[in-house]
Amino acid sequence: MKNRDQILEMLTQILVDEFEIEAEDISLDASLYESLDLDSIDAVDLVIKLQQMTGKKIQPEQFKTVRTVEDVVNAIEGLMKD
Amino acid sequence: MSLTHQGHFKHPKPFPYLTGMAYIPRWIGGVMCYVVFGIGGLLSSLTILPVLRFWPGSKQQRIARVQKAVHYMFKGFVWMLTFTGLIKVSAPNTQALADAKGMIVIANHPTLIDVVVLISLIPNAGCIVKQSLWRNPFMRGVLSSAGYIPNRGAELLLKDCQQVLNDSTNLIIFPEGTRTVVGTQINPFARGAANIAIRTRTDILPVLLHVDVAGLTKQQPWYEPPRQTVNMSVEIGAAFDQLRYDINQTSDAKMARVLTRELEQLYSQQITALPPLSATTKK
Repeated sequence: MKNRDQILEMLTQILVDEFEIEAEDISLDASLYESLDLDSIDAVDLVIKLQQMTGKKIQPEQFKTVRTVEDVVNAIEGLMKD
Repeated sequence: MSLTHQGHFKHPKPFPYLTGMAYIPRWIGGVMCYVVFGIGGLLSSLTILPVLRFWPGSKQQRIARVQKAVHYMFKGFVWMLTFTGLIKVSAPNTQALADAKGMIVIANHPTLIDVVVLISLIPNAGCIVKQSLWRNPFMRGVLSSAGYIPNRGAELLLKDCQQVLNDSTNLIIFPEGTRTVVGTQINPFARGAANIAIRTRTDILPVLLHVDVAGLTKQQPWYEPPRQTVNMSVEIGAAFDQLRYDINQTSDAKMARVLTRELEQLYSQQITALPPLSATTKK
């Protein structure tokens, strides 16, 4: 079981390593598409990466409403509880 | 690498700026172009396009037929745009576009009619078309029978693109996303074109559209056709080979960023290297 800090750490690592995002730009309220400049294809890659890291299957619908870093953390936290 | 063939690009002579009575025939001609485009789209989707679409043949053959018909219709439309004085296209070395198969053709996007000019030069062209146009009754018939791609979200989009490219259709993409904002060289590039190229392992053929005055831009209303005929030159650069995408041994997402930067740089250098735009208002 992972807590929110660990999830955020994991997410930050993915965003920095895979998407050239600066670690200092990443905060809970940062929006993925505007401030972090992800596009829809990146979002697909991010979901795949998160699935690999968590070992959980992520349904695309669960990710549709995700807008900010915090939304991702919440979604992953929800998955880990199931 | 250089996008242009010759080092010393020379603008054609600029056209006069029409005022007063002289603008009236231009205005009528310009508005007629819109009318003809709309009616042509509607009529052809009710007549010739269904015939071509349902005439026997494999799915690819039928789509290729419609694409060729659209190519000839757009050639005719470019003739009309030239006749009414909206634009003068100079495309002397564009055989590479006519010969291209299953490539991603990218271009900068200075005017409303860029896609019309490109399709008039490419017999087997496809495009990604935004959802709102699929609901437009004048356009819908053409779009679907020519095998154009609706943007249905990232995953489906990549699959659709792969299929269209496999059928050797050339996919036209404007990385600027929308028409160039007047007064800037190019808009920042979105990564879609690079992403699609990388994930479908497709070569990119870069096309530079250079205009001598701002006309048919997003900032000007459609009912004000350009007072000064827009000289548009079409130049084709060396293709980006898909094998280059593997050089950096990095993730697709990162490579898309690298490639997009490279493409954006190429275009901004080429456009800056050309003589500056002449004044867009009267002299």
